Amino acid sequence: MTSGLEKPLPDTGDPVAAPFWKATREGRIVVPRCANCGYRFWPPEPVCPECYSSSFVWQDVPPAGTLWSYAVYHRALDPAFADEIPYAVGLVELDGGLKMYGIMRGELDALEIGRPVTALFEPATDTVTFVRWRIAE
Amino acid sequence: MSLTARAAIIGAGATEQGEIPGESPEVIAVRAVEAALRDAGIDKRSIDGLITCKAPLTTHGTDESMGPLLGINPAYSTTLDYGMAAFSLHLAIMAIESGLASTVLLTYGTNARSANIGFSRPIGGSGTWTALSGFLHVAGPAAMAARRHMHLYGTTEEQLGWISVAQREWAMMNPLAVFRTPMTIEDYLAMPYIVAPLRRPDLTVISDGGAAFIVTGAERAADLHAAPIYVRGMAQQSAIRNEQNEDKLMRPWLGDIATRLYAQAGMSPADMDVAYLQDGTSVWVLQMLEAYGFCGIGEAGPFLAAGNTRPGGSLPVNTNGGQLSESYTHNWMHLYEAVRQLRGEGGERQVAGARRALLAQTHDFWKGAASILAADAA
Repeated sequence: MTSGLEKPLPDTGDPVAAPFWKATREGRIVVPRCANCGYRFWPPEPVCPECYSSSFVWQDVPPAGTLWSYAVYHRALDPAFADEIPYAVGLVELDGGLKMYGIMRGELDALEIGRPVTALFEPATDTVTFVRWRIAE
Repeated sequence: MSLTARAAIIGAGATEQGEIPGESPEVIAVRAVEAALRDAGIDKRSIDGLITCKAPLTTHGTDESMGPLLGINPAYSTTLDYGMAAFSLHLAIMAIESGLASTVLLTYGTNARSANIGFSRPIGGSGTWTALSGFLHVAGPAAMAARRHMHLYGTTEEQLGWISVAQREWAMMNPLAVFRTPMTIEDYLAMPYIVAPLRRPDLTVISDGGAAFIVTGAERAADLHAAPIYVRGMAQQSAIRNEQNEDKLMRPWLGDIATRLYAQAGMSPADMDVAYLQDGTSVWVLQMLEAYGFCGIGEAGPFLAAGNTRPGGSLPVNTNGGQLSESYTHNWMHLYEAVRQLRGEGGERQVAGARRALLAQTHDFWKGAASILAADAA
C-alpha cells in the first residue's frame, strides 16, 4: 500500500517468506522448491500451486541474472520513494529461470534489456536486507 | 458454436463524465439507469435481473446498496468485484441463457475523481513484494511491458504516442470527453515521463461518471427496441496464476480470447468496423491490436504510426477518446460508444457504415473478456 513517508518493510517473521529474508541478511538469494513435487516458483506462497503440498526446501540461486525489462519512475507514485526519483525498477530473470522485481542501482543510462545483472544486498534495518540489482561490470 | 446473436442491448444510458461532486457512486449509477430505462422505453418493473459492480477500489455499488435506490426486487441480482463492462455483459447473457432472468440491468458508477481515490497501489498478485521496490501503480508494469515491446520489436515512443494522440482526435469530437484540447504527436513527445517510457497521456483519466445498460434475449430484443445491438460472440481468459505465468507482462493469453471469440462468431478481424480496446494504459491498446489480429505480433507500432486508428483510418479505435481522453470507466463508456456508433448515433465522429464492433478489455494482469457487437442479428 501507499505509505506515508516510511518506505514499506516486509514482515520477516511471516513463515511463508522468512527463509528468504534470513538468506538476504547473509548475502544469499533462496527460492522455495516444493519438497513433494519439485516445482519452483516466485514469489512464495503457503502451498505449492502444482501439488498443494505445504512443505518446501529453500534453494540457493546465483545472485545474478538478466534484465528482462525495467520501468523508470520519474514521479513518486509512492511518496516514500520521493528521495529516489528518478529510480528504475527492474524485472530480473534469474539464472535459475525465475523472475524477481527489484530497484536498479547505478546509472539509468546503462539499463538495457538483456544485459547481465548482479544482486546487491542493502541492509535497511537490523532484520531487513533488501535485494537490489545493478548492471554487471 | 453460435453463429447468430445470443442477446442484445436494448437500452444504454450514461451520465456526464468528469466531476460530479457530492454524489455517491450509487446515486451516479442511478442517474445512468434513468437514462438507460428512458432509452429502452421500458419501466423499471420490467427488470428481472440486476448486475452491479463495485466502484473501483471501494466497497460501493453492490446490488444490496443499489436495490433500495433502484426500488426493484429482481429475480436475480449479483455484484462483480471488479467493475468492468465486458464481464458484466457476459454475466448478463449467462443469466438470460440459463433462465435466471430475461431482462437484465447492468450498472456502474464511480466518484473516483471527487473522492480522490488513490491509485498508487501495487498491481498484481505480488503486491506486498513489489511495493518494497517502489513498484506501484499500473503505470509501472505497463511501462515495463512497453519497454519490452520496444526491445523485442523496435517499437518507438512516437509510435506508442499515436495511441493517445489518435484518441484525443476522437475525443475532440465527443462532448462527453474530459480531455478535449488538441494534442499533436510533438505535444505528446514534449511531455515529461511519469514512469518512462510512459507519459501522462498514456494513462487513464480519473473521473466521476456512471453508465447503465439493459440486456435481453436476442429474440425479445427486436420487439422491445427499434435498433437492438446484438452480441454475436463472447470469450474470456484468465491469467490468475499471475506472477507464476511465464510472460505475465506481455499477456500472450489475450490471443486465446481472440481465437475463441472469432471462431464462435464466425468472423475475423477484417469484419470489425470499429474496435473498443479498454485502455487503462495505452500499452493495453498496443497489446490488444496485435492479440486481436489487426496487425501481426510486434507490428502495432508501425500500424499506429500509419494512422489506422485515427479518424478516417482503416480501424477506428476508441472513438469516444477511451480512458485516455474521455473518462475513467473501465470499458463502460467504450460499450456506450459502441452502441451509439452501431446505431448510427455517433454525431460528428460517426464512423460511416459501422455495423460490427470489437469490445475487448482486461482486468490488468488477471483476466480478459471480449465481445463482438453488431447492428444485425445474423
